[in-house]
Amino acid sequence: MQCGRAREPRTVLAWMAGALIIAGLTAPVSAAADPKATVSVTVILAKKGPPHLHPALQPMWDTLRQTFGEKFASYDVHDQTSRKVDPGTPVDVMLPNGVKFSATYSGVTPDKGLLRVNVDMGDFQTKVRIHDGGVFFQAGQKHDGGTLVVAVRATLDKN
Amino acid sequence: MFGRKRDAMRVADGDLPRDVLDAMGPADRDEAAAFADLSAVVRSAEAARSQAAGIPDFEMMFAGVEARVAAERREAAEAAQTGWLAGMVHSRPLWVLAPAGAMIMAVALGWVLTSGGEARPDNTCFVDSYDADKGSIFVDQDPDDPAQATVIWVVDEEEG
Repeated sequence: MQCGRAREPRTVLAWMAGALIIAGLTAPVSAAADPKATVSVTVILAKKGPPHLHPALQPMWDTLRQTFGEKFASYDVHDQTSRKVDPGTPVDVMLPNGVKFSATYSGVTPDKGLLRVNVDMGDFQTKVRIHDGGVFFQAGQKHDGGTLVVAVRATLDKN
Repeated sequence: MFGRKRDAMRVADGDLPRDVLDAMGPADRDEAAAFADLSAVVRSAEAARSQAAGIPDFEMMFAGVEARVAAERREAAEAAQTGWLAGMVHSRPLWVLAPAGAMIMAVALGWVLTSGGEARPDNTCFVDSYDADKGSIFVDQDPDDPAQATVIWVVDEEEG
């Protein structure tokens, strides 16, 4: 009985030490900052008419074809920006119609690891979640006889 | 009588030693000699007939067959020593070959999956919110096709 009492504080201390070690090991992981991501913004002027594909859009051709189908036949690049950023840092481009387009990577969702991206363009705002390396488009503004299509891609930094 | 004659024939054919003739009479020895002459004549005639008919000499053909069999046996022994794969397949038990085969398949599959061209990204996009003071917004996406990217259209109503 006395032995049991003598061991009781030791057992409690051992449990506390174990809990502290586990907390020390897990705390940096849970509190770790979201990784950097490379955000690419490509401003495309899409038109009907003679087929044309800007060479810079070759890697994206399958996605453009599957997404827009017969809607456009000519794709020209007006601007292309790609930056490795921390969460919260916007990547800005100026559209040819004078409107500023801003894509902001805002971190990774804890459950599925999706990348949060916010878009601001004039009075338009949207918040989306995409897979690592995925792309989405914002489109609709008219310019120079065509339609402005802005492709936003976000890829997590593996380093 | 038939026994002596048969022995004389066997001596003439070489199946019995010629000492057997010593125990026979002169008539039997003459008969054996006659059988030997007859055998020689028959063999000679048969050889001439075969040569005329284009049939190869049996002795030579058999010697050739024996040489070929010996050569093939030697080549097979050399191949078993130099062919590591054939040697491994023929000498290793199944419990060695099966894991090795599975490992090779796994490596090949991994190579195909990791190096087989550019992987198609998942363009599935979840639009959590959108807002605009003017114009219309509509989201164009196909949830069943992750390769197709989402398009968030912002259309000025004045432009149509």
